Amino acid sequence: MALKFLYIDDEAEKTSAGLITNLNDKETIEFKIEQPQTWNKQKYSLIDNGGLNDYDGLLLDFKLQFSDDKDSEVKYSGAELAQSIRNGVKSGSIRDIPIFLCSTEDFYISYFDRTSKDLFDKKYKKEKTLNTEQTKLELISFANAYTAIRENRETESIIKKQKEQDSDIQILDTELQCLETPHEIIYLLNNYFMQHSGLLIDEDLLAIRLGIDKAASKDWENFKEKFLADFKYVGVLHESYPRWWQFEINNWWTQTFGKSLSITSAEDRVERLSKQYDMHLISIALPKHQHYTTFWYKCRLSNTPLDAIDGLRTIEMPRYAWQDPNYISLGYLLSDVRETDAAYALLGPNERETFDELDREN
Amino acid sequence: MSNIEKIAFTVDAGIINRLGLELVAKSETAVAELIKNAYDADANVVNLYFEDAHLPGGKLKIQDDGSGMTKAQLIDGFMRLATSDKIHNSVSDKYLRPKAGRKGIGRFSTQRLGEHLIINTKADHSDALELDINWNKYAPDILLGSVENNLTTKDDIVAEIGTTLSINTLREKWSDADIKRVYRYVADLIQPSYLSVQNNKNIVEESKTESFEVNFLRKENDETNWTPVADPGVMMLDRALATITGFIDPDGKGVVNLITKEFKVSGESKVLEDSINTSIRPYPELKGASVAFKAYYYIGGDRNSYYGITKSELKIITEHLKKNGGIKLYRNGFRVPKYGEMGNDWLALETRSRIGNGIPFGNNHLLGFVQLTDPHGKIFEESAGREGLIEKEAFRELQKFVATAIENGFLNFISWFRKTDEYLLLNPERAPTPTSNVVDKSIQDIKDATKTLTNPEATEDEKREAAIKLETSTKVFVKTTKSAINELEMMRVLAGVGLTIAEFIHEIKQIVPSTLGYIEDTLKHNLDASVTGNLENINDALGSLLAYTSYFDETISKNIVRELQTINLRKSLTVFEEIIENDLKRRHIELNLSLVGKDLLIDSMHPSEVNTILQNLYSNAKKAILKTTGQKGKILIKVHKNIELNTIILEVQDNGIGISAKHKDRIFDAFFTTSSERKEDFGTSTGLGLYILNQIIRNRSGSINIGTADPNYKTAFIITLPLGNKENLK
Repeated sequence: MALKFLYIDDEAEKTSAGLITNLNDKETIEFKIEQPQTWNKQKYSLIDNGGLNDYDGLLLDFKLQFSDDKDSEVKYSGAELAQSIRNGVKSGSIRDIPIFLCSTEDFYISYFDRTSKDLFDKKYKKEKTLNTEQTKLELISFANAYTAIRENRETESIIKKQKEQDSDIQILDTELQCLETPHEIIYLLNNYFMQHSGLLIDEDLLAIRLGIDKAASKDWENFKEKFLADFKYVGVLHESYPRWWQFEINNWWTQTFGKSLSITSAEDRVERLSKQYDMHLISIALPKHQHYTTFWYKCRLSNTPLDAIDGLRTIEMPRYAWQDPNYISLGYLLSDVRETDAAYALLGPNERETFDELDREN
Repeated sequence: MSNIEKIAFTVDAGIINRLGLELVAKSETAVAELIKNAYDADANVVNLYFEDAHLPGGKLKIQDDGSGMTKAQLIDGFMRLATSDKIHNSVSDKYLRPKAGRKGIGRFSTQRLGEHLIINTKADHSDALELDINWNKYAPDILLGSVENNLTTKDDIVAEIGTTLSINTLREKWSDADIKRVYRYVADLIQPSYLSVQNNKNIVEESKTESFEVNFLRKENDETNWTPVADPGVMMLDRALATITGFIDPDGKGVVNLITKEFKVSGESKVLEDSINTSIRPYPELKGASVAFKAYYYIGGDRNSYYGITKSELKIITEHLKKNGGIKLYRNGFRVPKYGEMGNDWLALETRSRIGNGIPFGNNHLLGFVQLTDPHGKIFEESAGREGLIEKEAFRELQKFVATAIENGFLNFISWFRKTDEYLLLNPERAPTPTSNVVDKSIQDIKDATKTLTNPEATEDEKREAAIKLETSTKVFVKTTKSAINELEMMRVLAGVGLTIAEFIHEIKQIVPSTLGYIEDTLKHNLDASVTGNLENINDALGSLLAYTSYFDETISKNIVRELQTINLRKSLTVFEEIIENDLKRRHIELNLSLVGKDLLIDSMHPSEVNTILQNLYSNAKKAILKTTGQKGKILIKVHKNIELNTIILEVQDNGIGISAKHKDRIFDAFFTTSSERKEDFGTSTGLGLYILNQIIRNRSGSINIGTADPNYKTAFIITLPLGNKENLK
């Protein structure tokens, strides 16, 4: 049965429909497009009257302003509406659903202050990211996630892992217990659990931590599907973002090869894997200016692999205990293409000094 | 029985009076008709001698070197009223001039002017003849045929070929002003000089062989010498600051040249000779036509804006230009009325009067004419009332050619002229660019000066100096402030435009993606290959449009940030490359980037300025490439640092048509243009693009020059700017 989405935009309906042609396939997602009503009417129809309960997801334009024939002017932002909706959820008027924001101006999208940032599950640019396959995956994925959580709030049900399996999961569980609404839960999971490595890692890190140059290795896909499938994350949102459990990988490695993964060199890792699984895999070459092939992290700015020693830690404070620290690799910092201002912005005073010194030496 | 008699018409001799005095109302017309007759007789020179004419009863002798008349022509032509001669021969024998004096009443003009006429004429292979006519003998009540006149054959003398009309006992007085009026009436009528194209080369010269010159001279009382009656029109031509000439070559392409008066540039006397390229666009309708023009440009106006003449001369010139300024049109040797007359702007020059940005332009600053030779009316057709030309496509192309040529000639002239000593002397450096440095300096100077003036211990000399300093710095300060206010007002206007652009971009960003969505959706259906092809093309085109909007994102959002920043040029170029990707593909242009070094930073610039520089140079490169054929366009952008000089160097190279050596010096001047387009989009051919770029770059303590291009490239623009320090990024 198709998911039902509501899309509110002050543009003409035809224009709005054109913006979601790849999303609105009537089989997986069915969109209803509406013009914004006056604040009171809108609030009443969606929240007080429970209109939103008919939908699995909501897509809002950032700026909602127009004048209808009856002389009334509508002028409020998608953010204000979203805030009211989240409040409505808290007060029990309506159920929680994902709210997505779309707009044309970067300026507006990045304008958000911290208080309104967390109202939305995702933001899309109409002219770039809105009408894509990936977006469709995400919309479905989020809608399903909300449904799942509405039905069962248990952490283990949400992430499909037992608490006992890892101490970090217990921490995650503790954090989740403090939260009230599905939105709050999904917001945390999406931004601090899935988008930030720690408990989970993405495909880049998966390859890096196994020492594999996935672009160069023809057997990567094969290997990944066949032998790493067990470690895949299958909890909420997994459809939009493929992730793997780090602790599972660590365990598997130790069990299979006896050593600890993180202190094994890339060449060694790949040699073992190739032999064990009869795969043709290429190890990651050591980037210029770096010294250790015990790659563990990916550069915050260039996504290239590094060992912590070959990088400078950023000043970003991880919010939760399970999150990995971030590093900028020396290879990137000392390359021609580095964006020095971006680097400085992420580095604390000590690290900046180190950077400057290294620059002088090289 | 009835009798049949033979009766013929008779004519009363009084008809002479009627045809003369009554038909030819104005004396100027009379003289003009006689001059036209000389023209029709293939004369090169006509001299009119007014003797003792300040009172009635004087003498007028009209002497021409035309083909003269044979006895037969005298008797069957001149002495026969309403002759059919002019109907049979509509062009002159020698120069094929379409006959001007069509009314056939030239002879009666002489009667209109004076009581007594003596014709002396000699034709080739014929005896000299003298015909003596006393108009008073043609009194009413006697028959025309009964009046006889003496015709003397002078076979004994050796006479020049031509005709001299001696009109005695002039009925009116002829003052200088009267004569000048005739002069202007006639000079206006007949093309001032003849233009011919030599060897299809780029020069238009005046040829004397087919010219027609009219001279007025007078002598009073017992004077021995004849005094020419001068016409300001002729005198003025020497006073023009710039002369623009042009013609259409056999392929229909326009060729235009500019030559200026002599001026001093940094002390050295120079003359600018330039050829202006209008050959991009041929004028197909004008192919095969004989079109040439000559235009003289005058600044005119007040004393301060003119050079090398006296006040009275200037006044005469300005007065003359007011009445006679404009470009006239001559067809087959005769002026076509209305074009170029006062109030007529057939070249639409008045709409462009502001292009000189302070230096005036328009009909009141130009004298000149367009010469069309089209004897069979093939390309240009005269309208029924002979009041103009039927304005067909060929005519429109003529307008475009002449207007563009004159305009571009003017622009190129002033871009050079602004650098001459004479101009700079009378137009001292404009108010300094309102920067805070200038303001600070002025304030400091004012403070210092005031300090000195209020110091009891300052010497008289010091005080005087201080007073002068106070005055000058106050003036500078006021000028700067006024300048700043002006700029502010301009900025407000531009800001308004900017906001409109932002609105427009916002709309595009909704509508274009929406359209793309529908196209994508349509493509999912199983369609014919041609349909799919078209849809994909539409997709690409819209994609390009969308890409351009991201350029505006950068500019508009960053314009809200008013501070100067350290710019990462590598990053700017990466973004720029993305934005023009579709455009490059469409135009089959290959772009190569060669960025060498870490931290390719520009110190202290506004992000939108960087974009302006890149867009402008890219636009120029594209235009240069368009002007070539047969090879794939290539653009090369190079960046490297010079650590010792603390500069960053940006090079934009292309393999387009290149810049000619003589233009290299002037390419950054305001209004200099090598383009021949006229009503083009603002900024592309106003000649201001590189000028503005130069201003921006110099304002940021940088420089822009033409450099040596790499192998396989033709043009290289090299921009040097202060190198940014990464410390400033912290």
